[in-house]
Amino acid sequence: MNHNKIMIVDDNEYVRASVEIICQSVQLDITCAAGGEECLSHLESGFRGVILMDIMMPEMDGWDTIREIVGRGLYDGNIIVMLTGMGEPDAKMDGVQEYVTDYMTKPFGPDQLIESLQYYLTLLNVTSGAHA
Amino acid sequence: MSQVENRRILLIDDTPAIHEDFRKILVDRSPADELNEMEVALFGAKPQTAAPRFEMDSAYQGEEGLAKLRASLEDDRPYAMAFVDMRMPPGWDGVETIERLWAADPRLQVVICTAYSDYSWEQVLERLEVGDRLLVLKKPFDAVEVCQLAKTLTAKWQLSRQAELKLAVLEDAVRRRTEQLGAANEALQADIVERRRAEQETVNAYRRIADILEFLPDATFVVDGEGTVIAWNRAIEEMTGTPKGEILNQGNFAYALPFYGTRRRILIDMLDDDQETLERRYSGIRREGKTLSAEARVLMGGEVRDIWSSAAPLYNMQGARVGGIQSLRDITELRRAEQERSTLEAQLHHSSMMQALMIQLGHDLKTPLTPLFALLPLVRKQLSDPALDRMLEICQNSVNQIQGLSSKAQELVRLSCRQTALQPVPVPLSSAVECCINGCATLFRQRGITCVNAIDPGIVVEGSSEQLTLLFDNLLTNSARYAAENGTVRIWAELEPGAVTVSVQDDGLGLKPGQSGMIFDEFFKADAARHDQDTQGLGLAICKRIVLNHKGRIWAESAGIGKGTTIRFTLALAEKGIK
Amino acid sequence: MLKRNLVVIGVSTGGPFTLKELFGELPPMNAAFVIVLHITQQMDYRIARGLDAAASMPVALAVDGEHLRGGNIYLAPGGFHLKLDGNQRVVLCEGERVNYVQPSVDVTMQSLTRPLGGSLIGIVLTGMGKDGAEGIRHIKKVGGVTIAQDQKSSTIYGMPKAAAQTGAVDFVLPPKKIAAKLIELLG
Repeated sequence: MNHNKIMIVDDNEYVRASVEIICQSVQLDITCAAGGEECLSHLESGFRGVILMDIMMPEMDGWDTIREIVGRGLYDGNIIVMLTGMGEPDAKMDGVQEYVTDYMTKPFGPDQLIESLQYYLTLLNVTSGAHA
Repeated sequence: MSQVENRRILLIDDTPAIHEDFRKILVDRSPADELNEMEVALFGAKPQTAAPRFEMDSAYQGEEGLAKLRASLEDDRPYAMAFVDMRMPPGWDGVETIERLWAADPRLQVVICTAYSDYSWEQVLERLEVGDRLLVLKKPFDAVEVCQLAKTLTAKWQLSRQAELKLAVLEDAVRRRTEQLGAANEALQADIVERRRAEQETVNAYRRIADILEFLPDATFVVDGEGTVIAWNRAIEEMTGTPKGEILNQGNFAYALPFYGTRRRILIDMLDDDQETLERRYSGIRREGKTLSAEARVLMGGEVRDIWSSAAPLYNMQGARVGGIQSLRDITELRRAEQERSTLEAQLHHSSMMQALMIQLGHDLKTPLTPLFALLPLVRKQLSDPALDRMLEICQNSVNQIQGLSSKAQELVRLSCRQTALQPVPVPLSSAVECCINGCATLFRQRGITCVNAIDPGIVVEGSSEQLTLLFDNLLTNSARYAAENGTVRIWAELEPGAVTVSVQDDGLGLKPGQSGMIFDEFFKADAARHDQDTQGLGLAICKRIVLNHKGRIWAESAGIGKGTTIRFTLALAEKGIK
Repeated sequence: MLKRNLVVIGVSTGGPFTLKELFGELPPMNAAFVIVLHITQQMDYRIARGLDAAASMPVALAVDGEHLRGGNIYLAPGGFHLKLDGNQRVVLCEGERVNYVQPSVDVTMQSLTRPLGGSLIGIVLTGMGKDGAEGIRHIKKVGGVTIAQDQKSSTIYGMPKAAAQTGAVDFVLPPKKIAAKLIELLG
């Protein structure tokens, strides 16, 4: 199954809109979530793909959302990339390092984002069990 | 010795017949007595007082008499008197016997019986210390004489004895009384000494207190019950410039003059005011027990001074009010320092707030910048119109500037933050520089600049690897910008004991005299005309902050405009590495 | 005496991209590369696959008991700690997380011994936390060469910073320069 799905989880509508526009410009399938809860419900509904996750969100922040995703067994099949204004992550990241594949700081350029997304999608499209 | 009458008599005579006679007279009961007794027994008649009977012991020689006397003394039954014959051959004569008798018992009353007048009274007196204990009975004697003698002499013995005892008692009483008086006297003496000493102490104490008051560091004065100044110490003389002489014994609020220029009530006069009155007069008056304290602003010596004072009433030992005491302290300097401190604290608070605001702003700017960064390039890609493209290019550059400013400012704030403590580690200097040179390679290449790293690879400095990298990054970027086209940037280091001075030199724009300090200020740009979008003017400010964090110095040298600039700074050397 | 060169790389968040950049610059080398990436079992093979496509040497998940061979890149699998016996035999062990992570870079690096022949190189790349700092200190102690990624190029400057802070890092470089340095050291 080909994965070309991206999810943007951010509480700011313009950030969501920007990512949406960038993805659409290269025909990437994009889903939007305004917060952790929405993200989880998408995952529960079967979303698998590259998740761009903001850290500083009201109610449930990025780390809590990731912990919840892992806790509910929804991680497999996804790659998580933090997309955030925070310069360096704080100690709240301890224990979820292996679930966070990349960390992009805002503001980012479109090319940079597209390159990452495309690379991670190829990783997700690797069939399981295959060794080099 | 009992109080019972002593009726013992000793007769010493060598003639037995005398003994019989005496016995008849003194000892035996008379027929009259016997008749009387019978009368009493038969008829119940009133018993008549009988003549007293005596106990009589006999001795036929002087020596024998003495022995009997001694025995009687041992038995504690002494003879009251003795009849002693004058002549008693072959032993002692009467006088000798009496002599010896008296040696043994001086109390013995003696009657000397003499028939002969071969001893005259004078002679007897010569031989014996008679006193009044010797009587003479001349033979032949009368029974009545004998009886009378016996009666009176035994009575006399008794009386003497009693007198003796009484005397002893009296003497004892007197002695004891004397002792008592002696002791009382001693006690009185001691008391007087004590009292004198106490008086002296009191005098000394008063003197000491007066001294203490005089030399108290706090300005103090004392008034009596009428408000007359009775003490004005050295400190208050100094404070007011009013010497003791001018104010002691003055009344009528004289103590207000040095402070207020007029006679008026001051704190010491308000001790008895009630709370309401007090609050009306002075705000900030406090009462603690009987003490009042307050602060006031007065004009002294042409200057406005803040004076704090406290006043209290004085009482004597009986609890009566005898005056008051007031102490003052000039707290003008204190108040001033406090003022400065709160100003500084306000400033500190303000700058902490500013710092927090900056950090918040930095965070918050990133979100609205994101769509600009993300979407402008996309728009440009879709346009063919060069005019529109140019417009978007300008927009993009603006956005870049905003982003650059924000991130640099954030960096500066982060570096200045007092909470981040430097954790120094050894950092190899040359390789750190090399790394940064590589980082700026593109920039150097664009302008054809050569960068020469002449730092000895053995030099190791002490500091934060992260901050030092940032330092060189900023310095090299700065040099790359201001170096001459196709010019050179040189970096070298000079060793000193414990430290190293690093120099970064370019051959570019150079500095105007006087600019060398300003270039480290925030937002300073050397070439105001060149609207350099790529620089925010914060690079060197960041460098300065980093060098300061490392406890070093940074400064700039330039020979003049067009003659290039050298930025120099000092860093501490690490333990290892060459020194 | 066979010259066995060993390069142990510790990396976390930002790893896949950084490794791609690094190995994209490296030609086939006479050294075994062991990569310890903070990864899950669901992802490890995908990363290996992705890297394999970009690198000039084959990339595979390390297998318990296997002997390292030069010219190969081994990725520590998720869910285990990887130790090396005699600097060449793979020993996978289960156990508690170390520095909150599994596999842990410290565990791998601290299992290394002084090489009898050949070079030992330890590298810490981008990542959050301080896994790898003690490992770097250990590698320096047993006579290895140590490299940490520089701040500018690091996705997250946590692990390389912690490594640099030990004072036991020989070179601080961006990925392309690291590649150049490796060619220099192993060439």
